[in-house]
This record gives sequence, C-alpha cells and structure tokens, in this order.
Amino acid sequence: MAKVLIIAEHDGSVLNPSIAKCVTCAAAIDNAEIEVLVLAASTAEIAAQAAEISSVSRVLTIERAENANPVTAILAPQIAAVAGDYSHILGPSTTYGKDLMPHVAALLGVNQVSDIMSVEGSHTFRRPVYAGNAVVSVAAPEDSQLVATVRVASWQAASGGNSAPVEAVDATVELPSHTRYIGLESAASDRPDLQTAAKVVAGGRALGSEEQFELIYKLADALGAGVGASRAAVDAGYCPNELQVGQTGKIIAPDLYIAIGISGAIQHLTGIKDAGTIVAINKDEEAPIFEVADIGLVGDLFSIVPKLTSALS
Amino acid sequence: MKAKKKPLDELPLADLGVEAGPQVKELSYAQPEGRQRGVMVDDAAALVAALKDKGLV
Repeated sequence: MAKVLIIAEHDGSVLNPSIAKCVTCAAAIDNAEIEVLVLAASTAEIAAQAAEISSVSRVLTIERAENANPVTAILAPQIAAVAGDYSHILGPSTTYGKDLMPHVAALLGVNQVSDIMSVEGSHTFRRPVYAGNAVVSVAAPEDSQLVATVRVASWQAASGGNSAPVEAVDATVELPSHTRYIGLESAASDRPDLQTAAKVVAGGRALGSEEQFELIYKLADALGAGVGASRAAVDAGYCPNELQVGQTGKIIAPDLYIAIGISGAIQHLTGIKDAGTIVAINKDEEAPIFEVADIGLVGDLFSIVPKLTSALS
Repeated sequence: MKAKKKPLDELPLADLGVEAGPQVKELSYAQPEGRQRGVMVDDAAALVAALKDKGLV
C-alpha cells in the first residue's frame, strides 16, 4: 500500500495544472492512496480545487502567513514535518518543484528521483537522461521514503468531479530566517502560461531583433497561444529568459507547437518532443526541426507569419 | 606554496554518520520513442488548411 503525498504548486489562489498530472502519475502506482498538501497563507480556495481532482482521497492544508510566497527554505521543513506517514512524496518537475523537492529530499535524508516519465513498480520508474536521448529505469530503495519530481509533459491531467475532504494539519516547526522573500520581478503577460498552454508559438534567432520578435507575439495572440523561444533568441536578447524552451528552459507538451525560425538543436527538441503536433517554419529545408515536425513549411518567415496571423485572426 | 604546509586530516567515513554511495540503482537504458517526419506544405494558406483539418485552430 503506497501512501502518496503531492505538494501543490499554486500562485496564491489558483492551483497549477501540473498537479492534476502529478495525480495521474501517483495513481499509476499500485494501490496508491493519494493526498495533496497545500501550503499557503490562505488555503481554502486552492484546497477546494485540489479536492476536485479524481483519485485524491484527502487534501491537507498548512495555513501560515509565512507561506504567502513560495520560498523553499520556508516550505521544505513544513513538508518534512508532515511527510512521516507517507511512502512517496511527489512534486511537479516545474521550476517550483525542481527548487523545492531536492530540499525536502535532503531533509528526509533520501536521494531524489527526478522527472518520472512512467511508473514500472512502486519504487521503479523510467526517467530521461542525456537531454532526453536515453531513458533509464531506476529503482529506489523500498525501505525508505521516496521523494520524486514528475515530468509533467509525460502525463495527462486527471479528471475533475471529485470532492475529497479537506483537513488542516499542524506543522509547528521552527522556520529558518536566513532566507526571506523580498519581491518578484516578472514580465507581466496576459498570455497563457508557457508551461501549461495548449498552444505555443515559439521564435528563434531568425527573427533577428526584439522588434521583429513582435511577429511571434501577434501570431500567438491570434491563436490564444503561449509564447516560447529558442535559447538562441533568448541569448540574443530578443525576448526574456523565462520564454526559453528546451533542456535548460521549459519542457513542454502543448497540443500544438509552432516553431518559427528555429533550426531545432537537440537541446531545443528535448523540450518539445511530447507536443501533440509540431509545426515548423524555416527557410533552411535541411534544418533538423523538420525531422520531428508533423507539418513543415520552407520559406521566409517574414512573409509567411503575417499571412498566417491574418488568416487565423 | 603555503597551502602545501596546511595540515591534512583524514576522517573515517563511518564517523560522519552518513551512508555513502547512491541509493537509487540504474536498471536499464533504452532509446526514447522518436518522432516521425511529417508532411511538408507549400504556403501559409496550405498550413492553415492543414491545421484546420486536424482541428487545431
């Protein structure tokens, strides 16, 4: 019997869609009893969303003013304090989970298993290595707790319609004061979040400048899509770092991915290979992106993209 | 050169109270499932038609 605790990622009011995917992963473990832990300053709204996810048997909440912002040094000791009864502690392999879960694993004195792609047994999992060029099966020791991150792109979201009970738990641990939340700077955007968007339009170095990268934003807005970029475009300063897709950026699995002026370096492809449909627009017909694209179009993006935008608006 | 004169202490691992070595075992490696090359279209209009065909836009 596996007792699984999933750490809920949220923005203070809305549960991140990655959590429903973590639940699907947890449900793949035999006889799993799945609970979700919400740490926030105000937990009711988030906990209600977590309680709707099917297969969740209980939602636990820790409501403390210190939890208003996701600071790993503050959250991890609280998670470690309530983790005692659980055989598995899972988080999403998002920026949030990649920051938090290793801290939890360290406090519990166990190795972390990262990026679970599939579940082979209660302690045996498949995960990608070498930028997704190989898949390794790993076995964690069965006699200790398992801390892991779930590769969100590999899992479908669990359905809703559940109404699991919500319970507050007491985690009166002393919190460290060495790390404090100062502020958050991010490029505010009304577009869908890159990591969870159903459609993503991404631009590469061929866009040529920050001004011309506007073409990508316009097409994305016509489609209601999120915006991504290759590392080359980010390094050239055409768009902010948080748009980077690939090995050192975000690993995404939208239904539709449109790569514009992106050659398709292996480090970029590793970030998109679970996408439903990949469309590539590039002037170089030899570009490696066409090897993985479902629909390819060779041509000048500066004439094609405006036509696409007007046809789709 | 001064660094060479610093004392070099050796501690037995057992005294540190940590377990050495990886806990997670690697069982086997495999090739990931690859993607197949798809179709090529000629222009923007054909691309829009192909996307509509798949119900994506």
